[in-house]
Amino acid sequence: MHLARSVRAAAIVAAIAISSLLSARTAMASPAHVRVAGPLQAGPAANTPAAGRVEAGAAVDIVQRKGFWAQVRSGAATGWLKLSRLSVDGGGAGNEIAALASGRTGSNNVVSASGGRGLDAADFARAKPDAASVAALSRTAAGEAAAAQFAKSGHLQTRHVAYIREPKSSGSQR
Amino acid sequence: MKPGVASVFAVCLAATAPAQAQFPLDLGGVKSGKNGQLDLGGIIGQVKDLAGGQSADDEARSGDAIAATVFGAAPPWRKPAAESYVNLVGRNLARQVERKDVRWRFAILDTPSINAMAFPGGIVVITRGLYALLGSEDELAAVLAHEIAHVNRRHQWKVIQQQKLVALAGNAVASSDAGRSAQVAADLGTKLIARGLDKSAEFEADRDGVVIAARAGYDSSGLIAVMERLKSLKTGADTALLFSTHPSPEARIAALTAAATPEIEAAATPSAAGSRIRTAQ
Repeated sequence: MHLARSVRAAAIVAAIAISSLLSARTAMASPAHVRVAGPLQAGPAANTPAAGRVEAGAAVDIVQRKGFWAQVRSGAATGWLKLSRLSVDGGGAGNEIAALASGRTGSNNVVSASGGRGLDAADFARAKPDAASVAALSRTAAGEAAAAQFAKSGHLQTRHVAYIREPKSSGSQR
Repeated sequence: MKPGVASVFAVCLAATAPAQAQFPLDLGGVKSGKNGQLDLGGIIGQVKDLAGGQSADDEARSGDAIAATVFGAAPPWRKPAAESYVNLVGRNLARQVERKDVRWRFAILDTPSINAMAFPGGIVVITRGLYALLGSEDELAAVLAHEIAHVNRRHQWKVIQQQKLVALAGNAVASSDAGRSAQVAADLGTKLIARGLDKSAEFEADRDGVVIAARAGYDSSGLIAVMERLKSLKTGADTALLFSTHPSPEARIAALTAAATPEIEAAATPSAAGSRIRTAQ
């Protein structure tokens, strides 16, 4: 009798644990709204095939971010949107996108307040100038050759990239 | 008289016009001639000094003085591995910009506050709080490249120079004294840190910074990742200065994403060097 009851209780506990695990997984997708209507792309680039369409104001779930694009679920459709077309709901959502993108979660993204006052204008106003620390910077500065070697050892490949011009009207965002 | 000097002078007079409306000809303590006549040559000389001339030297001296004040409030973090690492990442990025008259020096400020700043002449600082928050070298490169862009465009220095001109016309500066002039520039620069630049300068530094990082071989979307991290922070003492002097992370993501060219989007892949930051944090 007692045994049957405790087995049943254990099953309920297990079911709750499993369902909360499942909901924790779905909670990874963060909610957002579409700001600018347009096509969903099949991949994170404008030259990929269209995979549907979303209207302004539509609620979507962000599955992951890649570069300047977010993969979203909108009803049955899944596709990619440029980030500028989305507004992310809620405070902590950005944290989750960062975690999804970097494969890291939690602790490192949480900032502990120092408990005191941050560095601010009053600190600068009463600061006693520390010229010695400025002079010391010359000793820790890296030279051009060392920087080039550092780039090489990190397998950084330089690219030719033109400066981005100021958009004509900051209001139109696509 | 060069037309450029004359027009700069006209602008600075115009800027002080409201304050002097009741005394339209009162130039106050602007250097006078021996017999009390207005010494126009002297005034033009002063304006010329401020408007151009030994600009790069002035800029570096003023920047060093501003940095000295900032270090007085939060000293450099003495952790050799981190100091060296940030200098290597920063110096390598600086190879991608046009200005060659800059002595690039990078430092970490020993404070939990979350911020990064650039001073005229090439000193760039990131706080220990922001440094610890970053997840990859691509993200560090994004932060430093934004600051390098400010120096490359002389954003802060241009504002300081304009304010010095206004201060001169309003009789607050005796610019013939070079030391005093540098001190005034440093004071203006320190106030500028607390007040911040125009939003347009911040958006421009975001766009330039992404390009600089991509040129060096970093993930062009590193700044987006940093903005996502900033979004997740609660507003509080450690972020107050950053958030009061910059557009919101949401606005910066939207502006940058809307402006990103296909060339920039194609460079949005994590670099091979990304994980190097772990050993230096």
